[in-house]
Amino acid sequence: MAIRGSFFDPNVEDIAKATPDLIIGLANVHENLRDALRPIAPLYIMNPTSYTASINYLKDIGRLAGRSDQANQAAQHFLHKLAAYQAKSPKNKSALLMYGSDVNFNIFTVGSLFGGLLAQATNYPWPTPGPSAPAASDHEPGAIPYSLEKILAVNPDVLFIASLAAAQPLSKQLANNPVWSNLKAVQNKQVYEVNPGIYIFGRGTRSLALALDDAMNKLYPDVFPTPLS
Amino acid sequence: MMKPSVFTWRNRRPHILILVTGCVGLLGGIGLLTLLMGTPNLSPPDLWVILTGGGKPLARIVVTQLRLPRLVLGILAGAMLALSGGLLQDALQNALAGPELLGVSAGATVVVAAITILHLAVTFSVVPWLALVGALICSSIVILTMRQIRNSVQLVLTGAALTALLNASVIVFISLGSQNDISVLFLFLVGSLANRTWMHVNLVLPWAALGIPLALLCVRPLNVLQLGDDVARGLGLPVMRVRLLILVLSSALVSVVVAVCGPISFIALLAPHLARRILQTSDARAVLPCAALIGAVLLSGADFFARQAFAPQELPVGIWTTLIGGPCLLLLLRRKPETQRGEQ
Repeated sequence: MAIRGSFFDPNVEDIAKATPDLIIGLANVHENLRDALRPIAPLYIMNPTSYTASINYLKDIGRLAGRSDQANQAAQHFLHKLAAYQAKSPKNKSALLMYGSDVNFNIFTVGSLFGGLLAQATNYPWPTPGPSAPAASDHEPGAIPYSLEKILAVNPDVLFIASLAAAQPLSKQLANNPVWSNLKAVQNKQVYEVNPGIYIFGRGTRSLALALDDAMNKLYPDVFPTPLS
Repeated sequence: MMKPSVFTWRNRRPHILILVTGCVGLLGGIGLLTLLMGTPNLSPPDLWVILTGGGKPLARIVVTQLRLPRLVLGILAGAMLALSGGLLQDALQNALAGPELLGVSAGATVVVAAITILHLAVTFSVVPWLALVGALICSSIVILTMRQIRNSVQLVLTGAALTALLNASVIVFISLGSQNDISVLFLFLVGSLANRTWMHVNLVLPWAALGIPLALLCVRPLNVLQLGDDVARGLGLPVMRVRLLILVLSSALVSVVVAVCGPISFIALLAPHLARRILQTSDARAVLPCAALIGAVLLSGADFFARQAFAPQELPVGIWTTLIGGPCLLLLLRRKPETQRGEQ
């Protein structure tokens, strides 16, 4: 059944009507619902910031659902896939995952969930901000507004962008921009609009695996013409 | 609003000279640092080579396509916001009058929020134009509503109420948005000059070229308005007509800034107060041009810190203007200069 309200403020009565055994919420968003949800079901709060935390999340849910074996199996499958990509990847291309538009954008550093995962399989030269830097978004740890000057200096080979829906392909829009057009990713038409559902919102190992398959295919199409199992 | 102190160019010349020299010096320093610092860091000779058409391609692109337009935009936007604030404070005789009373920010924000949250298929370069249209439509609605009002306090209250109504529609969009959409919208909502290019400067420039001289031409009626509505009418000023024209001009000055940079707060409120405090007069002939200079310094300076404080992480300049501008404004409003106290 559909839960009305918004992501930030879901309708608690609808949640109660759905009679769930377990409610999974996002850290820094749904904690304030804990008291309201207590009579309905236990609330499990998560927001993994690394693929290892995502595996732990999977195992926790497996344990809570009484399906630990399947969770462990899925975790192993994901780790094998990652190891296979790591072993076969030439790691000679740099990538950048970002969301937003040409002026207002955030990039995913190594300190973010998918940025950290991509750094395992290719060159991902966007370090986690230092401890003195302002905190990143509560919802997307490790995603920060970043200097375009620095992006130009690093000059990534491939850009993955989760953007606003665009009237024109992103690569064409950025090619028309006097600054972005200087990036080799733009010049070589290596700008890809990615599905935020799997690249950004997905926090489990299944969406991480899908995003990894997609990104590695786009980065190294000759090496990974099809997803690795 | 305080009444104007006795002003002659002769008795205020030292104040004006100090202020103008200080602002120009600060602008020069900020401008030089803005062009030199970043990725890559440049030496003054490197910068000279780039500005004369040479240098490495990356450094040339960074200086000519990012740092220079950002600096120019900061100066123009700061001056336009400050003028808008000065016009409104004098015309409405209210020390806290600011562009947010005109629905400009809310209008632009509604458009950007709709594009961001509803994922409307719009090219990046068209977004500031649509935001400008939104700002102008909403400010026109607010000003048309104000047309029938004959009292400056009611004008302020009506503007605040209508703007609150428009802001509510922004909240509706926010409540519908996903985490990432809201995060991108937040960058617009706090106001930023980051990553703006000559395209954005070119959008602002005609409005600045027209709006700034027109604003400076309003100094005489503003001085008459400061004397109070009854005296102004007695002196033959069509009070409400002039006031509405000033609202329109103020709205035009701010609309394009909000459309391009987002609603940058406190510059419009703070700069005219600083100018009055330093010059020790509220005479618009001196205050408005000096406020424009102060606004340019404040915004370009705040943007330099926004870019450098946690580099390569960018902080939206609106965060700095709020953090610094809020306490400064409170301090200025709390401690009025002796000359102005004496006049009340």
